[in-house]
Amino acid sequence: MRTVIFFLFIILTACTNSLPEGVKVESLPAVFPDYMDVTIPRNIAPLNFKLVDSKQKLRVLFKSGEAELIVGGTNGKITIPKKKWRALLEKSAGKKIDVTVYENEKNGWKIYAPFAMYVADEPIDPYIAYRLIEPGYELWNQMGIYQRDLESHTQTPIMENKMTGDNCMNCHSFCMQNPDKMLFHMRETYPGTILIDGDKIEKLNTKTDQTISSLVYPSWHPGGRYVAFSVNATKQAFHLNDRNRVEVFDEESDVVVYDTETHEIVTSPVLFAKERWETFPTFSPDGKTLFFCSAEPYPVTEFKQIKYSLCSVSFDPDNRTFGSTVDTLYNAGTDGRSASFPRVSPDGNHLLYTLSGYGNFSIWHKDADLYLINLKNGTTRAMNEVNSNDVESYHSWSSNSRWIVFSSRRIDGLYTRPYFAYINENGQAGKPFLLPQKDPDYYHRFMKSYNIPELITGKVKPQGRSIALKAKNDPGVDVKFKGSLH
Amino acid sequence: MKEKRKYIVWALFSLLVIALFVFLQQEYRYHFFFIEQNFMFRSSLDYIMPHLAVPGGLANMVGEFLIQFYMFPYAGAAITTALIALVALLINALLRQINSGYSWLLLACIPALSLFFLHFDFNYKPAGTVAFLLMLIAAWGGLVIKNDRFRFAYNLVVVSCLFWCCGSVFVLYALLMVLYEFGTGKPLRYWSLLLVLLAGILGEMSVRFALIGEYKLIFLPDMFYHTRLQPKSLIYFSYILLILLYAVALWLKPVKEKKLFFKLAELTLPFVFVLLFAGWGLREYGDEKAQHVKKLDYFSRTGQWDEVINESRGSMTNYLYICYLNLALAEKGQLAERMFLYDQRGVDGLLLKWNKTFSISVLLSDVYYSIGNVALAQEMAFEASVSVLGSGNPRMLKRLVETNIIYGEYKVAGKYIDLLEQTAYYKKWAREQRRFLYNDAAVEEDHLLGEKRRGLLVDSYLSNTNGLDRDLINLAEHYPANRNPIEYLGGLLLLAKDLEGFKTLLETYYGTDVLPVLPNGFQEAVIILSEKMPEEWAKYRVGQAVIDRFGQYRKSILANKNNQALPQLMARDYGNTYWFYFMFK
Repeated sequence: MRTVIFFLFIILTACTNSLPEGVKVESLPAVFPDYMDVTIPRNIAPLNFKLVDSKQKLRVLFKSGEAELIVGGTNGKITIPKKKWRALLEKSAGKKIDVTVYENEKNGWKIYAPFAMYVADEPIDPYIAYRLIEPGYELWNQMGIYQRDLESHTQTPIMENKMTGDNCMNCHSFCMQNPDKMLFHMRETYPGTILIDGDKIEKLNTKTDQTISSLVYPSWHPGGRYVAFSVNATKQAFHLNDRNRVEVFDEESDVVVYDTETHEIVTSPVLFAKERWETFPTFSPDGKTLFFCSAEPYPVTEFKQIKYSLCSVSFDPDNRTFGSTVDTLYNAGTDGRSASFPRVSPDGNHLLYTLSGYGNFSIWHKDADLYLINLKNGTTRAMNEVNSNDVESYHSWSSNSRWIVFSSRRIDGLYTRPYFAYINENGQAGKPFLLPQKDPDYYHRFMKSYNIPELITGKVKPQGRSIALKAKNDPGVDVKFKGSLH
Repeated sequence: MKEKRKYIVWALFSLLVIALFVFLQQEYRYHFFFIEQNFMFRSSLDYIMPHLAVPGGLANMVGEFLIQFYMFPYAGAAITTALIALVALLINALLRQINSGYSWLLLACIPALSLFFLHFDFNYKPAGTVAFLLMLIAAWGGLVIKNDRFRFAYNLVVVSCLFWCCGSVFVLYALLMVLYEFGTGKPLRYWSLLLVLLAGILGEMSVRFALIGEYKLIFLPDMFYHTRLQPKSLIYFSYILLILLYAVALWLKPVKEKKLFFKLAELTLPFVFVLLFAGWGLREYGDEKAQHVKKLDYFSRTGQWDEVINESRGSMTNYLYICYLNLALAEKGQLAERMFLYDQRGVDGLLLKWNKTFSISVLLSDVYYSIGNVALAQEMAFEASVSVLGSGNPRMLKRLVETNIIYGEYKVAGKYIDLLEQTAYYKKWAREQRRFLYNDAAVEEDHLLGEKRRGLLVDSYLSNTNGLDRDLINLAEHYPANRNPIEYLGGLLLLAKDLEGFKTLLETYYGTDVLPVLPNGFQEAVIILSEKMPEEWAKYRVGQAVIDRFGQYRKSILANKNNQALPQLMARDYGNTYWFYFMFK
């Protein structure tokens, strides 16, 4: 019996750990997701992939110096063992992994030319949060905000709308990537904004008589006391024949700052002007500057004329006051395009934003791309190393400023998927990689989009039931509008 | 004699089952086609695993598996009949385990029927019946075990399994088993209370840990109903009736010597009661009014436009019916020619207002598709897909395949084709669409897809921002070969009695490719526009038959102008004209 087991062991290890002899070809394998030449963090989950249009047995050799890992696969796909992958990455931090794919064809094994994966020294924040929602229009069904452990393939819900009467929830936002301090909105049933600070859950009624809507797009002040919001009157319409399909536009918008301690909204004439539309606020990491986008109003029939500049104004967190001078980092009037989603890296060195031909809901604009401003020297460039010929839109930074996650529709043009890219101190980015899944075919059948991907430093405490009870039973705190304080 | 009674009972039961099937197939066959589009079973792990990961998921999955066959003729009626019959048979088996001294089969039909009535409700998931059935099978298995300790262990396992696989029926199971243990004086009866405790803990944990949204969705059959709606109390009947029957079976002592009267009553009374209950339930819950729209929907879905038109004779007060009729006329290229032959009631009959419901979204997708507004057809298809009760809407997924192919969005079309290829009924159609992927020539050669693609505007703009009429005009001008945009526009103007608008339409487009000749309905409107200017009639080539008929119409009006019954009088002979619509509607 022991002999049988021994030989079985030999056979099994021989089968999975050995590399077959075969014919080397010069071509690179066509893999999905495209993990060729990507830069990855050392704590990322296994990057399972498949050989496109192959149903064959595979062997894949991952080699970095002395460290190597051989993985077998069937049906054209590989599933990399998590522990061994992690061990490989730890050994390869700061180095390159050469990946060689072996495909078992009818007349023998084919050995493709190797491609590289670069392992960055710096880890990525271990979780991202996102909303999963169909990429449409007005109606919804099952919806939720989820978190994904980036070190494994596990996704768990933060909040699902089945807990709250199938309502709409959106605009989740974390204070400095802190999973214990966040907020999101609920709409329609049990409407309000839910603010979570540790064990404290608060429900806010954020519509005031002076603002055109409830609070919409959020961005936390680094100190945690304030949250900048936009207020928007948003509409949607459909192109009769345009690859962009849908147009979402504001008929009006302003920017305000909410004080979590006093439940008051403050603003400034430069953020609340009727003759301009202000939106997408974000604070600098030192909390002394508020960036935002601003456009000249146009009627909906001239929607392509609506172009947002990227601006900034100073903010005094002690007095809740704003400067009177608005600086323009990107001028839509002169450059002719439209900025959205400014986000500053936590180290304060770079500002990432989205630029598209017009408008502000850039997820529906195929020409939307990511741009990076070096805040030290003021230079701006297109991030050609991460952009594609389809949408790149919403993005966020990791806490160590070395990684970004962004939304892209490059796979099929409709379903938004999260991509990660490494950014070094000089603002140069590595090739982005798609959020890995256990099954490489997952995205092909998945009918929801990943919306507002946010990197967070830990797991959000699962308290869906508590949040639901708060939303249902608590009347909420009415937010008051204080207006401009100078 | 006992054997004879048994055969009579089985014969009556069989009669009921056959009658049920025949009744469903005759009176409700379109109901099953309508229900089918709300659910989508796919034979793939990415469909199965998420279902198995939540309480009640297995029952939902089995329910969708069965529903996929509803598209095949007779299958809906057969599957529903089989489910209900099995429920009755299992209840009978259960009750006979407890008390074999009586005949329970006919009485067992009553809770089964209460489940049956639910199937007429568009918002009910047939998975609820599947779950009930699985629970009965498990309960029967439990009662077969004679060893008290084994039965107790079995029940503990089953409560847990039913909780995960079948949802709320696990509570019913626990209650039935407790009733049984106490009712039969079993030694472990007090231990059986642990089953209820276990059920309570499982339910509580599922809500506490956010697996389930509300308590009623795990403890009550509300789980199998549209979560945003409040179900009728009918949904609880099967649970309550089963418990009652169970209690009666436990309580009733067997009678050794039954008198003839008793034997006859035991045979006839349940049968009569079942019939009465069935009659009452069908009247109360049969939703007969909705059957007509389901029929129209089926004919529309399968392109049987003549059937839709044939169903639309006589008075119509429902905008939904009229919308289907006008769609059918448009698909036959006869909208403006024949629309006023039928009972039109205003613009909503041509283009319903979107009320964000599934069924209106589907209909509007069809209407916009017919018009050639592919963008809005796609939007409505997407909305309908998102708002279904089950796991998907295969009918609208087909529309999404088509519209994405038309736009050349082949990757997305391929994604949807992949999904449909995992279904039983749609895989063949899906496979046939593959030839269009990345093959513009094939698309352009196809009669349907090519025409829709040719109808796409070159210079796009936002739909509905300049008014629907602007969209229709632009579509008509861009691709005059498709008459539907101009006929819908003309129809909308006439139904709204906007004669000025209609006049502008004629002056702009008559004699062009967009409107080379006037269809009958438009000719009638020309006469209204210019009643005292016959030269205008000649200009627009109004036919002599139309002119003559108007002459008679006018004479009738003048002759009866003081008659209070004028509308009724005119409706008889001229109700199928635009003149009547304009004057009296």
